[in-house]
Amino acid sequence: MTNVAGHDLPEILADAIAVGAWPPIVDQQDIVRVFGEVPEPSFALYSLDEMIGETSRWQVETDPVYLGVGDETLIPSASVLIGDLGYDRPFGIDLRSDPPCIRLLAIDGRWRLVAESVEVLLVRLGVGE
Amino acid sequence: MASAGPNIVVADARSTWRPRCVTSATTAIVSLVLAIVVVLLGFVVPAPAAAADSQLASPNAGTCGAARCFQLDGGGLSSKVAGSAFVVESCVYDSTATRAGDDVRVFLTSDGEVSATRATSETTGGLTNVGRGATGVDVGDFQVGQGFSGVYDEASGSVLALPSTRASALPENWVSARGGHGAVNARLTQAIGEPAGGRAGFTAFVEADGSLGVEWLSRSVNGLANPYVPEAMRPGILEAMARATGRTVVSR
Repeated sequence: MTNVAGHDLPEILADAIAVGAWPPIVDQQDIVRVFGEVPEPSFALYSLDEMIGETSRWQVETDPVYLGVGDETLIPSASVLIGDLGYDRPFGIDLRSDPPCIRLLAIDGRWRLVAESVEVLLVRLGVGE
Repeated sequence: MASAGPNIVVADARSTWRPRCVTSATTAIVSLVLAIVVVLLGFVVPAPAAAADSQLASPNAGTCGAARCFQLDGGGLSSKVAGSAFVVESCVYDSTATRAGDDVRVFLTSDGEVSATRATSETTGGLTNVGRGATGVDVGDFQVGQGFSGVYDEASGSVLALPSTRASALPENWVSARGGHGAVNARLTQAIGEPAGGRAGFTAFVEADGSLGVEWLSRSVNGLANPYVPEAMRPGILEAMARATGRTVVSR
């Protein structure tokens, strides 16, 4: 199992990392299609090391501007950040759901659901094609 | 600054100090000695640096007499050109803004005066115009794509941007890509005090042509409702970053 800051990555993502299929090469249009927001030029799909770095720091986050508003949230202790649409626009795996889903910290401050599962996200991004 | 000879001006975020050990009696003597020193230096200092060195040599000795203001490193005066760094050894100043042991960077102003500034711990490692930007950091030291999480203080025009990363290793004086603006904001407050007006968070990236491209979103500084820097504040940020780095700075 591939571990990120104390969490086992979903197997399909761990396998994609192992074979070099993650992070995939995508363009801005791919990101808009999958996430529904225009990314900053600095958007990134994280390497394993970046997942570890950003998730480790996310786990101690207490600033309300990152914890989200409304009913759609992402809990730092039960999630893994796997990319962002630019600085301060992270998305991650919500480990509370089964299967774990993908949420994006949207511009409006909600952790909006963008994919029902990690597999759905990978398919939409063309990982492994 | 009006002066017949070269002046040294050291500025940091809190105050400007000047050596105060100048006396009229010593000035004439020291000036004569300095003239000889400068002439001698002309034989050992590379030509392009000679002007800078001669200007720096005077305030070093002339303002402090027998007690040197600055410790000259192994590179001698030839290393004391614009942008070089050295360490204050000892001197008596009008304020405590700079003390023995402080890291100092030397600059030549556009009017030919010698200026220097303390590299404060608050701004160390960053791109900044605080204290004339003495941090030992140059954009050219970083790879294309490197991001700098920055905060701009509207009232003072001060800016501080620290290198940022998503990686697990977070070097000293670097901040996290996500959330790093908050740490930069705290450092800027330590350097210049509490904000008198607005603060804005942004991120500057090293572009392939050597310029800096700026993105405008920061949640921890700009807020939740509208995380983007207001349009009206952006020109001031671009100008402050350009002055701090000497690079072309544009919106991405």
